Formats: sequence, structure tokens, C-alpha cells
Amino acid sequence: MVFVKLLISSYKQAKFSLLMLLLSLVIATTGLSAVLIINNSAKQSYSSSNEFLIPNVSHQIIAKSEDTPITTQDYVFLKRSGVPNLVAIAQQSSYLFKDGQSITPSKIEFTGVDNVSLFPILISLNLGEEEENSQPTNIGLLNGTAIVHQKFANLLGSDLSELTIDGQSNQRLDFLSITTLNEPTLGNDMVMDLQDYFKLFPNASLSRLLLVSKPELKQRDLDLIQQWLPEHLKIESLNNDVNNQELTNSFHLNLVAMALLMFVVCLFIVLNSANLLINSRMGWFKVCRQLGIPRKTIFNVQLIEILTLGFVATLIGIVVSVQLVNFVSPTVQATLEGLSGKEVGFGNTSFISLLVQVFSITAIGCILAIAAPLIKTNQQLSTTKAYLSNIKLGKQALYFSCLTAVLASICALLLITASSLMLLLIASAVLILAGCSAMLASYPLILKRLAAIVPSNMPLLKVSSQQSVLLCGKTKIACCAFFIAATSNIGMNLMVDSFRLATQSWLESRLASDYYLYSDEQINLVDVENKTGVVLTPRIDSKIIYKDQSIQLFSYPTTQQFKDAMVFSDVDNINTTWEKFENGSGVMVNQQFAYSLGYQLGDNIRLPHPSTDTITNFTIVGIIYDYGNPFKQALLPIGLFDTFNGDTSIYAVEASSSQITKLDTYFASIDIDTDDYRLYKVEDLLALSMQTFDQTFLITDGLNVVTLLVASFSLACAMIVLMHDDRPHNMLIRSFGIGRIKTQLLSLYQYLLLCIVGLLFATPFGILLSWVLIYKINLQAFNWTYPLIIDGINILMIYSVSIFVVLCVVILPFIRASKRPIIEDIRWLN
Amino acid sequence: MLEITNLYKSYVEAGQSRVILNNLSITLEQGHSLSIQGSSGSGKSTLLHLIAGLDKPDSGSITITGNNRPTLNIHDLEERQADNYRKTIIGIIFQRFNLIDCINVIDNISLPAKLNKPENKQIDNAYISNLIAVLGLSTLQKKMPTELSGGEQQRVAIARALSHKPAMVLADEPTGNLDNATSNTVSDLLYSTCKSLNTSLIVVTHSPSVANMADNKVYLRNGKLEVIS
Amino acid sequence: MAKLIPKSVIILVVLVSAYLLFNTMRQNSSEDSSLFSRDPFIDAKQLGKKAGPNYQMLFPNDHFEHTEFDIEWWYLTANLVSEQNEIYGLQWTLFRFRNPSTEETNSEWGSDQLYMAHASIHSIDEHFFSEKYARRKLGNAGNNADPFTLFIDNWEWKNNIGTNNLLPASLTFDAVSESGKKIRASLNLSNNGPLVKHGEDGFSVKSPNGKHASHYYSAPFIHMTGLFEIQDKTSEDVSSFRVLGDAWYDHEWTSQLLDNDTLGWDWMSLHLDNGDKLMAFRMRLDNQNDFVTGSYISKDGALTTLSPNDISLLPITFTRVNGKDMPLAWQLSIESKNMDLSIESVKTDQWNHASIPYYEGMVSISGTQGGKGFLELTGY
Repeated sequence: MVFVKLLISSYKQAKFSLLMLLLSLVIATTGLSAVLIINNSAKQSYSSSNEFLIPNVSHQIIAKSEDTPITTQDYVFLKRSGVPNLVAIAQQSSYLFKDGQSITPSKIEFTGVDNVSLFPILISLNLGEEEENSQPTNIGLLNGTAIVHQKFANLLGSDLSELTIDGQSNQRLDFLSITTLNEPTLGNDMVMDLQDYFKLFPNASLSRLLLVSKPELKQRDLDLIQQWLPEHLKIESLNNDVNNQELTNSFHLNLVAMALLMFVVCLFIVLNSANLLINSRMGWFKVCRQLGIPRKTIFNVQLIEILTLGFVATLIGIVVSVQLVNFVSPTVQATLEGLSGKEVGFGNTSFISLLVQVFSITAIGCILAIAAPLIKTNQQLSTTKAYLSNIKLGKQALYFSCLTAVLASICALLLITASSLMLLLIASAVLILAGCSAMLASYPLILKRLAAIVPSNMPLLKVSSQQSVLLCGKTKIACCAFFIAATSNIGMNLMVDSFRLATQSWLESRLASDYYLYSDEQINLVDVENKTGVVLTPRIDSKIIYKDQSIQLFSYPTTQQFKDAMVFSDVDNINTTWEKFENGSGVMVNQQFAYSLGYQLGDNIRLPHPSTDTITNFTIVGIIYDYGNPFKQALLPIGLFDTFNGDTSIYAVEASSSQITKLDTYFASIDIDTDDYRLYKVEDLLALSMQTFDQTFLITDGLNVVTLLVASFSLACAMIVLMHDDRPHNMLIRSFGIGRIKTQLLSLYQYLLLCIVGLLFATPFGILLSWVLIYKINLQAFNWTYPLIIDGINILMIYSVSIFVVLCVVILPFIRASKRPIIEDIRWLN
Repeated sequence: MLEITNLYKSYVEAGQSRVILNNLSITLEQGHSLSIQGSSGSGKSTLLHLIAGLDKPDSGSITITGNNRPTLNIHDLEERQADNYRKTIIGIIFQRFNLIDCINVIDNISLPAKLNKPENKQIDNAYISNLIAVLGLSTLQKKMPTELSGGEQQRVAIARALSHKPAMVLADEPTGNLDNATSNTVSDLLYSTCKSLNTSLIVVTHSPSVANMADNKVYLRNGKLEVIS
Repeated sequence: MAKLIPKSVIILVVLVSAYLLFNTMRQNSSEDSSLFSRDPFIDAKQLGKKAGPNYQMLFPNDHFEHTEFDIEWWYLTANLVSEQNEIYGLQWTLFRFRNPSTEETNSEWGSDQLYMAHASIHSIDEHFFSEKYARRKLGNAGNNADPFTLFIDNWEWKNNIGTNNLLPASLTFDAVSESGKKIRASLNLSNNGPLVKHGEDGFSVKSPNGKHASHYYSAPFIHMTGLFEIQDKTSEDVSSFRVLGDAWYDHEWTSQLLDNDTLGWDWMSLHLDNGDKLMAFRMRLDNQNDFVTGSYISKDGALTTLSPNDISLLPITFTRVNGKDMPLAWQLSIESKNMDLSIESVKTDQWNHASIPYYEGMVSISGTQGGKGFLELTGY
């Protein structure tokens, strides 16, 4: 009780430390709550899907190939043949635009359901419990209604007439009214009857036919259905247990990994803050011990205090996290969906269950976080030497050097031999650890060297530089965390920026024409040129099967303009290359084709001739960059496609702006509506592409900033602890007649030196990490790569952000310290 | 010469004013030593802090006059002036935390000298070497402070306090952490070195043996100084 | 990834559609005392074509659909006996609804006409029932000519001599029982008598003020033979047996039967032992007296319209079925025919658990005449 009273009365003096601890806990609980809410949401979506899938829908009928989709006639035929409980579904993903911008970062999933067929099936499956009371036939109300999640409805707004599909003015949602349903499976989804779906997407086709059956269809039923199936359709089971289990495990693993990562990050910042608080109390802890208060009492009360703070922080954190999750929800959804390939709904989370979860984890975290400082306290309640002798520093340097060598070797081995993405990711982690170890080995030596460089006529600067050598020994954990965050940041930023620059430069080169035309209409190219002067060069698309894989086979023009536009990843003599290409003996393939199938320049491949379908020998004369294309692609000269009735929907357009006006007039004259074609100026196309690029990496950039902020915050907390230990040193300097501001600036200098040296170390490892990400991981995952471009400005930006955050956190204590009269320090020390 | 006239200092503790120094006066000639004794809480350190310009009195004056130097009203100094005063005119020795842990003995000793040296001039290495020799620190120059014993540390502190040739050295319980034998050795060195350099010395101590080594001895009681003969 | 998408679609299909359909309907139905929630039909401007006395019913044209009317049904009931002397009650109905609130579009998915079909087979112990819905323009439901066909998915009534006449025809359909058994019915229908037009040349008035009326004709002299194949839920075994009996066919179309005044109706089709047929109908209206009409059809096909003064139709016994008190025993009297009949449900629970639940099942006749027939009770 005495100790508790002492503790409470100490709060006046420990305001800052307490605030830092509470702030850390709030950040931790907010982050944890946010991740748990997102996890819960995603799990609900996923588990709901599993829960309802098994009893009711075991199979679906889909098209064997995209080229022969399911038609309405197929559907009718199967129903007439007697396939029971068949429900047609159509799906399409598109952006919804409002005021010229997409309302979400990811596409909206539009789903059309044949509600008319579904309705009696649901009744027969006893899903309507009060069907005796239900009265019917407002089936008419099924039309014109779209079901969305409440949160998604908020995004849509009240006036649907403002929304268009992909910005197309003729595709509006104004005929729909919205009904909301808070089901976790609903994310950015709009579900409607097929009648409305086909109003929105008149040219769409059915996606699948579901076989709704309770119990699951037997083999004899499936055999019977199979007999009726048209040639181009197949039945597919949706209950692939093995796949399901694997995917479930993988998905859950992702979620757990995210939560664990958040826990570790949070634990770290709480640890540093707890350290700060305990440190500030060390003086009167010693007095309490002298008064006979047992250590157990001190530790127990500390524990209760942090748990109490943890509970308060949990409450605050949950409230803040709910708002945060709502704010970032669309972006996070898109990321999860992108990463996992699953649709993620909004989900519902119970406050009580979240409170219990978060507080339990926080409590464990608090206990772990306070353990280290309390152990240190336990040691310090007897006196220990704080100075690391040269001998000890030397031993540590040797130890970390050996560790660096080992880790670097493992990393190199993995990079050379790795054949899977997982191993490459492990290699990245090992690289970062190796860097960390190298930094710990070299930190004192580097700082000593720096101190030696400082001229003798700057004695105070020299002293501060040497002081930082001492400090680095005390801040290993924080410095490591800072290093890891900075390295990751540099690595990721360089990777993204290199990709951005490469993409931009590639697009600028490849988009060689004035305009690009997108249209499915039949266009007479000669007639267009004669009447308008506009030259249209079509891209003739086809898909072929090569080595059991679907390959894009596109035409490419061989005029000088297009030759100059091509961007090669690998090519020999450029003239010979084009010569072979033009005469039809050479083929150009993209990196995806070459790397995944193991081809190099000069290799021969056999592809079907685009006109005759005869299998023909071609030599690979060029490997081209094709960023972001998930497909393997081969290019052949457009001349080979002359007699081929391939699909043409994209045209390169050479025209002036006045000729473009003539083109619009021409199209109107041959009854091609403005809705049936889209014309893009090349600048606009480039801008659109880069905008999409930036949106894609929004979450990456966000995460990068967050990790750097957290690490900088932690380092700053560690520095504040050290400032406490530095009081005698500063007092002494002040007693030499050095002004208070100058003394604090010198103090700040020694801490920032730690920060800057850490950043300097992080730079080469960040560049290495970037190299691994681009040339190993990207290649392994996607079979393409791009040049690494090291942008000094980018790196300097990261330096600036880190130092800025550290400064922001430490500036207040520094200002307070600088305002403190030296006499106070003397009295405090005495 | 140090002249203290009618020095008054009080503190507010738990809402009540407590008089520490009650209009005391004293004079110390240049090159002489003064020891101040008193019981704990008598205000000895307070007096020393006032003389060092680390604190300001409520009333009264503290002045230093000397050759080649204008009269300095220490009680009235602004912060910058006080800093300059401590940097150039006095040296301070504390009971502990006297040395900078991250630099060796020679660097610790020469630091004030380096801070005071004129531009484009070197420090007086001969003087410092002499100091080191006198204080028996020759073999310890490259050692780090934490490698030294308590007595050795205080000897280094003495050298450091004298390295910039101050007019006065103020020592607050310089042997407070030392055993008797070491305390006598260190005190002896302190007094003799200051004497030899014509540096005034004021020692605050609770130890009679240390106090007795001074030229002038006073006892601080009830805010007033009593001369001890 | 392709496998994952449908899983979430399944949820959407099951949950969302369930929500959409059931909740929307519950909102409209819970307090409503009328048979059908008639919002789309209340607005007089939206009403379909009205049945009128001057309409000339012609066959085979009028066997086909009348899309300008709001509601229409082709309704078959049959009292059958199996080889093992077990009795079966069969009902097969194709309904058509016009929904003016739905826009007719060019798309095959956009139709203002909806088909609904019920198939029900009762034995004493078992009930097989299935329901289907379909959009008219999609092509999986409707009627065809050459030959005359009524169909919805794989349920089909088809003239089996290639003409556009209603009969002779084959009828195939299937249904499931609550226990999971499946029944497949393959039936032949032949006509042993003429078609009859109810009311005035097929214009049948159903309320005192004449506001409720329809065009209505029947084929009451159908002889049905066929095969039932029953498959057990778990085993591969199929048991099949032949059935035969008398069937009654109704075809009716109207825009004036369903409004807020309509509480429901009770309808009977009776095959008397003497070969005559009797149709009795009681319309229950809000704030009006019940309106009883009927048609007495002699075995040669001569039809006598029974006005409310001519026929008395009274429920005698109410039995609790599915939480409702249902009149399963009736007294029917036709003074002019010296006819006093007791009509009683052969089986208590003959509910059709459809989206529009109603009672439809076999009855036995005793009194001055014996016989069998079908009873329909709606709006309870």
C-alpha cells in the first residue's frame, strides 16, 4: 500500500514517461485490434463459404474454354433435359465510377443470379421456416433490386444515378434500388437478378450453372447430367477437400502471420516505453529498497500498473481501430483479395469478444514487455558498471562478425539454389539479419572511426562522437529494429520505384502511336485511311496451346516506328533480329514465355502458323519486356496474320487531332456508336496506366511508412531512456561553462549519429534486398524482371522521414532538458 | 580576491520559507584556501553553488576582483556570462561524476584547456604535463576513467579543474567518497597544487582533517559563518 | 482461383437470395389478410385484360396462353388406383402470371410473364411435391403448337398425335417426397367426353357484384393411365407400377380474380359414380357474402350452370392441419337434382408446401351419390 501511494505520487514527475507508455500501448492495441477485426472479417467470409457450401452446392457446370462460354440456350437445354435444381450465375468485375474516379481501389464484383429458378429450390431446401405465413408473388420485386453490404452501400451513396460502370455513361445503375444485408461474405459485391445484370452488361455471358442439391449429388446423378452436357461444358466439383484444406491452411496462415507480426511490432514499442518508465523510477526504487520494501512488491505493483494501463489502452485502441478499419477497409479488402485470391467481406465483430481477445494478448505482451526492464531493474538495484570495456566490445564485434559471415553464406546459398518462392523469401529475411549482424559488429568501430576523424580543435564534438560509441552498446535492440525497418523500406522503395520508372519508360517507348482505339466492331482499314487519312494498325490477337499452356499469339507491325518502339530484355544484332522477324523465321517472346519455359535467344520453337495453323519452326530472335502480363506471349509479324480471322479489338492510330474528328464522323456514318469504341490519346493512356500503378502500390507504400514510423518511434523511446543516463555527462559539460542549448545539441548529435549510421548501414543492404526482390523473387513468382534503378533522392527521402520522426519524438525531452538549470541536475545527482 | 557581502538565500519547502544563508559575509585573498564545514543541510553546497554562479542569491553580493580582470559581480551574472565565468575563471570539482567516461585521462584533463585556448594557438602542454606529474598521473594518462580507483579519479578531477589555469577552484566534498588515507592524500595534493599555482581554493567538506589543511576555516551554522581558528 | 469464386457466389446465392426473397415477401405478407399481396395489380391502369361475357371461346386456339390477362392456369387433377389397389391423388398445374412492374425488355431474361408449376402425388402414406418457376422468354417454359405442348423444364404435357388439340396427350413430370424419395410419372391422357365451358359460354362470374370473373373451361372426362417410378433416397432401386383413373382438367384465365377483397376460395371437382361430373366453387370475399357457384355436367357433356340459389355448399367439419382449421368435410346440396352429398377429404394432410401454400387433395363422396374427386382450399 505504501509503495502504491508512492507510485501514484510519482506520477507528477513521470508524466512524460507514462504518456509515452500509454501512447505505445494505445498504438499497440489499435494495431492489434485493427488486424484482429480484419482477420475476423476475412475468416467469417471464408468460413461462411465453407459452412454453406457443403450441404447445398456440390457441383457446378462451367465452360471448358473461355472461347465457348455457357449460353442461355445451354442453360435452357439442360433444364429441359431434366437437370434438377440448376441455377445460372453470371459474374463480372468492373470499377464503379463517380465524378470520374473509381469509388474503390479494387473492382466491384457484379453477380447476377437466376432468382426465378432459385426461389423454389430454396423453399424445397426448407430455408424458409415460416413459409406458411409467407405470401407470394411479389417476385416482381426481385427486379430492380441489388443486394449490397451496408458498408458498401455507404460508399455507393444515396444517388445511384451518379454511378457508372468503368466510367461509361451508357452503363448506369439508376434503375436499381439498394437493399442492404450485413453478411460477412459480402464485400464489394452487388448481387441482383439476371434480368438486371444483363441490363447492365448486355453482352455478358453466363459464368456458371450451379447444381443446388441437398444432400449432395450422387455419382449416378452426375453420370446422368454428364450425358446431357453439351460438348463444350463440364461438371466440376466444388468440394475439393484437399485443395480446400490446403487453401484454408494457407489463408489462415497469412492471417495469423499478419497478427503475429503486429504483435511483435507492438511488443517491441511497448518494451522500449516500459524501459523508459522503469528507468525514470530507478532512483526512488533504490530508496524504496533501502526502506525495506521487498522487490516482489515493487515488481508486482509495476505489473499491475502496466496491466491497468493496458486495459485502458485496449478500450481506447478498440474504438480507434474500428474507425481506422472502416477508413482503410476498401484498400485492405483489395489487398487481402489480391494476396489470397479470395473475396473478403466486411464482417461483423463483437465488441466483447474483441475486448477479451485484445486485452488477453495485450496482457501477455505487457508482461513480456515489462519483464526485460524489470530484470534489468533487479540487477540495477545492486550497482553495476555501465561502461563496456574495449575488451568486451572487441569480443562482441568478433561474435557478430562470425554471425554475419554465417548468415551471409546461408543467404548466398539460398539465392543460388532456391527454386521456390518460400526459400527466396527466407533468403531475403536472412539477408536482413546478416545486415543487422554486420551492423552490430561494425557499429562501435565505425563510430570510433568517425570520432577519430573529428578534428581536435572541436573537443566537444569529439567527446560527443565518442559518447555515441557507448550509446550504441546500450541501444542494440532499438538500433536493430530501426535498421530492419530502414533496410526493408529502402529495399521496397527502390523496388517499387524501379518498377515504376521501368514501367513508365517501357510504356513511353511501346506506346509509339498518337492514339489507341479499342473497338470490337468490324473496321475497314483501307476505307478509314482513304476517307479520313487516319492510319489504323490492328493488333491481331489469338490464343494457342503450347506445351499444354495457353499462350497469347499477337501480331506486331514491322514499320520503323514500331521497331524503334520495341523494348528488348535480350537481343543480339538488332538488324538481323528484325530481318528474321520480318521474313517470318523469327519470333519474339516475352520474358514470361522465355523464363518459365526455359528458352533463350536463338532457341527454336514450333508454333502454329497464325494463318494456316500449320506447326511451323520459329527462332527466338528477341526476348521482350512485358511488365505485369500474367500470360506468356509470342509476337509474329503482322504480315503472317493477313488471311487469319483473328480477333482485333485494339488499333494503333496515327492521326492528328483534326483527323481524329474525321474519324469520329466516319464511325458515325457507318453506324458505329460512340459507345462502341473508345479512343485514347497516348498521353491519357500513359497517365491512366501510371495512375493504376500507383493505386496498386498504395498499400505497400502505406505499410512501408508505418513500419518506418514504428521503428523510428521505438528508437526515439530508447534514446529518451539514454538521455536519462546521460544527465551526469551533460551536467559535467555544463559545469565547464558550455551553454545549455549547446550541451543539448551535442547530446542530440550523438543520438542522431546512431540514427544516421544505422541508415548508412541500411542503404547497401536495402539495395541488396531490392536486387533480390527484383531479380530473384519477382522472376520466380512472375517470370519477368526489370532493371534496378537506384535513386539517391529516394534514399535521402527515407533518411529524412526517419530522422524527422526521431526528432519529433525526442525534441520535447530535449527542450525540457535544455531548460533545466544545471543546479537541478547537480542536486538530482547528489 | 573573492568578496561575499550580506549574502542571503532561502528556499521554499512545503509552502514554507527556509533561510539557508542569512546575510553572511567573507573575503578570500587570491591564492589562499578556505574550507567550509557544517552539518548536513547547513547550506555549504548552496554557498559553493552561489560562488560558482550556478545559482543566484536572494540578496547580497559576490564579487571577484583580480589582476588583469574587471570586477565580476557573480550574483548578477546572466546565464551566458555565468557560463563564461565557469569556463574561464573557475574550476569545479564534485564529489562524484567528475570525469567523462568515454574519453581517457589525458583527454579529460586537457578538455577545459582546449575549451579555453585562443584560436590558432595550442594548449599549454608543458603546464598540463607538469600538473599530471605533480598529481602522480603520468602512468595513467591513457586509461579510461572506469579503470581508475576513486582516489585516482579525484586526482584526475583536480588536474582537470586546474588545466585551464583558473583563478579559483571550488571543490564540493572532493573526498566524500574516499577512505581516510586516500582522502588525506587527495586533499594534500589539492591544497598544495592550488597553492603552488596561486589559485584560490574553496573546499566544502564535513571532514575536519580536510578542513584543517586550509588557510582559512569557517563553520556554517544557522546561515552564518563562524570562523574557526 | 476459379474454384474459390463460386464458393462465395454460393453464399450469395443461398443467403442473399434467401434474404431477398423471403424477407421481402415477409415484409409484405405478415399482416395481409388477402390471398395475394397485390401491389402490382392494385393500380387499375396496370390491370390486365378483363374477362368479359362477349368473348367467344374457340379451340384449339384457347388451349394456348392468354398473355394479356394477369393470371392463367392449366390445372389437372386425377384420382388414380394402382395395380396394388392403392389410391393416388395426382395434381399437375402450370400457372402463368403477368407482372406489369417488370419491364419487358429485348433480353431473354427480361419478361413480364412468369410461369410457376406444381406437381403433387399423394398416396395414403406419402406425398410427393415439387415446384418450379421460369421466365417466359427464356425458353424453358411455355406452350408450343404443332403439337400442342405445355412445358416447364422437363415437365411436359404434349399432344401425342401431333395436333394442337389438348388431348390425347402424354404427361411426364417428377416430384420428391420429404423423405427424399423421387417419383417419376409418365402418363397418357385420353378424352372420353367433350370440353365444357363454365358460366356463360366460358365466362364464369365468381362474386355477387360480378366484379370477380374469369374465362373458364374444363375437360372433366379424361381417362388417365400411366406408370409411376419411385426411387428410394439411398438405394439404386426403382419400384414401378401402373396406375389408372379419372382426371379433370381446368383451364382458366382472368385479371379479376385476385384483389384485396379476395380472401380465398374452395373448389371441388367431383366424379360421380353415375358418370356425371360436378364442379362446385365457393368464393370467399371480404365484407361480402360467400359466393357459391357450380357446374353440373351430365355424362353426355351437357352443362348446367348452378347459381347460388341452385347449390348449397357448406363446410361441416374443420380439422386442424398445419396449424390451421381447414374444412375437410362438406355438405353439398342441389335441390333440383335431389342431390345431397357428403364430401370428405380422403387424407387429412394434403397441403402443398409451395411458395403459395394451399390445400389440394383427394376426397370421397357419399350420400345420394357416391364418387371421388378433388378438393382445393385456398386462403386459409
